[in-house]
Amino acid sequence: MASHQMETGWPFNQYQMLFSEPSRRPPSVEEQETVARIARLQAYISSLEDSITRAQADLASERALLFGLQAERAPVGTVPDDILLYIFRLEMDSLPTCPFRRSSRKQRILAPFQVSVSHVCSRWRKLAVSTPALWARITIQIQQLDSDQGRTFTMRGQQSLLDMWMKRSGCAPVSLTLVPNVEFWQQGPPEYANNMVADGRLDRVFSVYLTGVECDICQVLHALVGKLVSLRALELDAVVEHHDTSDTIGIGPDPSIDFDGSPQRQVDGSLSLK
Amino acid sequence: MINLTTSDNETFTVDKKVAEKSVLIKNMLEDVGESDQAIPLPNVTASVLKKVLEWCEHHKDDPAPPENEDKDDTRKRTTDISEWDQKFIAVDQEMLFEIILAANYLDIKALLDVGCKTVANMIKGKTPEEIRKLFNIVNDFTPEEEAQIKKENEWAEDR
Repeated sequence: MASHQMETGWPFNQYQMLFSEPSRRPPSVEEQETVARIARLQAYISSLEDSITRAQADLASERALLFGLQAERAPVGTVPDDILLYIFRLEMDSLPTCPFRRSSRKQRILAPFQVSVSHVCSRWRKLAVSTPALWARITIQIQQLDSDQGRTFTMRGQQSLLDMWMKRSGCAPVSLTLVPNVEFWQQGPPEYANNMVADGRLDRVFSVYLTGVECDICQVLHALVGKLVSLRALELDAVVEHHDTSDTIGIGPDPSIDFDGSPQRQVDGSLSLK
Repeated sequence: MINLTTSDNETFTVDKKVAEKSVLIKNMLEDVGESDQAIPLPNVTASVLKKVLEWCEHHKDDPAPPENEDKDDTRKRTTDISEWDQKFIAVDQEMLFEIILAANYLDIKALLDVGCKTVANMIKGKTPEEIRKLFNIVNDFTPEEEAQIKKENEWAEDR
């Protein structure tokens, strides 16, 4: 019926009125009073909702104030800088070579710990940024990582991270981890890797850990020949067959193999220079 | 036996071998020689000293750390903690940091390590916001610092 009337060209507002008014007879006093009571209740609910919104904002503000007041006597504030720095260094030393890691919820990649602690507060930032030793372990993750987990590495991001890392490491000897990937290295090393070589920044690298597919590693080694003048240790972890490159979290131990010879294949397929 | 007096005027009588886990006390004993007088420890309260002495008692027979080992060395460290130490250090944050401060003051390197490793393990795998909540730290960055931090977070992009 309704659709038939719509099709016959009745104006829509008239059609609406027809069905919203139960009768053309005037409403009774009781009905009018009920409508008024409903309106008052709706206004009351609306004012309560406003009050709740205001109270929630006040609550959040008071909580922030309380957090600030409690922070003034927080136990961590009593720890002197040298001990806080010692804690940072303990954490740095306990990390795997590859610093990018997942959160406990296994959902996203976290920033390297040095970056995380430098983003906590002014005091922690000043302490972390002014300690070159904290930034002396550098990873160049030359591949898209964790692309299906909501975060993806970018070349620009890698470049700025590397720049920051090299700047903050000051003159400290640097331990470098390279994780090359065939998709990037087929077209040559990424720009920032080339920049690093061109700028002579590899002069400070004393230790290199190279992991990935064997042919990629060979390309990287060719690119690095003669550039690592301070190299003292080199560790290679090569996979002969192409493997799943979407996730390289928690890669092996620190570089620890003395460099004094040519590559030798290990039982597990890895190459090491002895 | 050695007497130790805390900042809140409580005196503890302990075995010399236990007390000498503290390099500070060991040096004091060497300097002044043995006496009946209590050694004052103005930076340590009784509740904290009780915990510290519990640790010293358990570790009294541990070999002394190498002389050249200090917290500025370049050797690789781990954050592994023994099972007994893990249970010992399972205290509230206030006590944890007081133990760290006491270990630093009394110069007990191995106990300082236990405390610092515990804090390092608490920080591990957490975002800056989670660290702030955990330790009750206020984000006091200036707008300029906030802008710089935002820039530093661009190493990866949210999709």
